[in-house]
Amino acid sequence: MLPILRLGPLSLPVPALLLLVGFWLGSYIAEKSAPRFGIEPRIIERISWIGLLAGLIGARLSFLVENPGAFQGQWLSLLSLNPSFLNSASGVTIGIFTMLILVLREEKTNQLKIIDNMMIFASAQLVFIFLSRFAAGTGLGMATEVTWGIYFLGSVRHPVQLYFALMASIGFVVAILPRFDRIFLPGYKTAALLSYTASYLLLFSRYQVPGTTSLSGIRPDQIIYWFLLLIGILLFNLVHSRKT
Amino acid sequence: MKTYSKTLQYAMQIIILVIGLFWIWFSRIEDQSQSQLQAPQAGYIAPNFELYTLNSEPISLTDLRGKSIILNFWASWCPPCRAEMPDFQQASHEYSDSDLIILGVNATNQDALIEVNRFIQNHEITFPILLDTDGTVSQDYQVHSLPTTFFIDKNGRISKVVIGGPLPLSFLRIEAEKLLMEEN
Repeated sequence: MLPILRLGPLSLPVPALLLLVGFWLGSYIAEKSAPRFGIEPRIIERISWIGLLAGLIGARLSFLVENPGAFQGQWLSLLSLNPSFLNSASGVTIGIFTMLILVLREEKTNQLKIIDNMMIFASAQLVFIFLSRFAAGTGLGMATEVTWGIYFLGSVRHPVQLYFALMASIGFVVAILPRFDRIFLPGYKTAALLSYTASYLLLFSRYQVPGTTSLSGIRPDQIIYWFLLLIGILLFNLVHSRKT
Repeated sequence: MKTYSKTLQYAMQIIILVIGLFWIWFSRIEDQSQSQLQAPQAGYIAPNFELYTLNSEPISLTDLRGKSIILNFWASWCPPCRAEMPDFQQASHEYSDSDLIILGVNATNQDALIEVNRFIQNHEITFPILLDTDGTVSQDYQVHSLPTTFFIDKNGRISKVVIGGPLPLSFLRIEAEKLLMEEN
C-alpha cells in the first residue's frame, strides 16, 4: 500500500512510523486519563516505557536465541536497527508480561484500575497496528466485488486491515470516553475490550487470504481469536464474582 | 433473582462461544487455491518472473522450482547492498554443491549498467545477476527499499522477507540451512 513515504532525500518507513505514533498517542492519552482512574500518571508512563524497552530488547534477544549463529563474527550487528532482526511475537509477549509484572508490584487496590487505564494505551496501539499492517500490505484481503474494495496485487480486495482498524477505533473511543467509566467498574473494561477485540478479529478474519497452514480448511488464527474471546469471558466472570 | 440473572449471563456467554465456533466452521477454506496466491510476502507463492542475466541468459523463477532460492534486490549505488555482496558471494560459493541458488536482481531501471558491470568484476561476483531493466519485477515484489532479500523454498513459497541490510554471512548461512532442511 504505502510502505515508504519519500520526502525529498528521505525515505520514511510508514509502518514503523505508524507504530511509533500509536505508542506515543496511546501512552499520552493513558497518562492524561490516569487521574480519572485514581492513578498517578507517572505510573502509567513508567509501565508503558519500560514495557516498550523490554519488548524491543526481548524481540532482539529472542531473534538471537532463535538464530544463535546469526551474529557470529559480526557481533556489532546485534545493534543494527534492521527490524527484520526482531522476533515480533516474542517481543510483544515479553513487553506485555513486563507490564503485567510492573502492575502486580503496585498496590492491590490499584491493580485493576491500572490495567483498565492501560486499555486506553492498548486500544490506541491496536488501531495503529492495523493501519501499519495496511500500509505494509500484509494480511491481504480476499478478492471481492464490493464497491469499497481496494485494488492490490492484481485484484480488488477486502481492506481487512481497515475493517480491523475501524473496529479498534470504536474500542478506543469506548476506552477513553469518561461516560463509559460509569458502566465499567474496575476490571470490567479490560474483560469487555478483550472480548470485543477477539470478536471482531474472529468475524473479519474470514475475509483475509488464508495463510499456508489450515487444519482441514479451518483457519488456525480464528481458533486463537476464539480462545481469546473465551479468556475475555472468563476474565469478566472472575471480576464479576469478586465484586459479588 | 440473582440466580436467574447469573444463569442468563452464563447462557448468553455460551451462546456467543457456540456462535463463534459456527463462524469458524462457516469460514473454513474450501477453495485451496486461495493459499496458492502469488504475493511478495512470507507464506505466499513468490511471483513468477523471467529476466536476463548480464550474459543475456534468460532465467525464469518457475524453471527453478525444486530448488531453494535466495533472491536479493540490489543496486550499485546502494551502500548496504555493496557491503553485503561479498557475503552473498561467499554463501554462493559455500552452497554451490547444494540445491540452493542465490540470485541477485539489479534494479537496472535506477542504476547504470556500466557501474553494475564494474562492481561485479571488482568483487568477482559469480552468482547470477539478473537485470530488472524496466522495474517490473521490483514492482511485483513490492520492493520499495534496497536491499531487500527474499528466501524462497523449493515449492516456490516465500519463507522470509528481509528489508534492509547488510545481512551478515552467518545469517545467510542460517537461513540457507533452514531452506535446505525443509527439503529434507
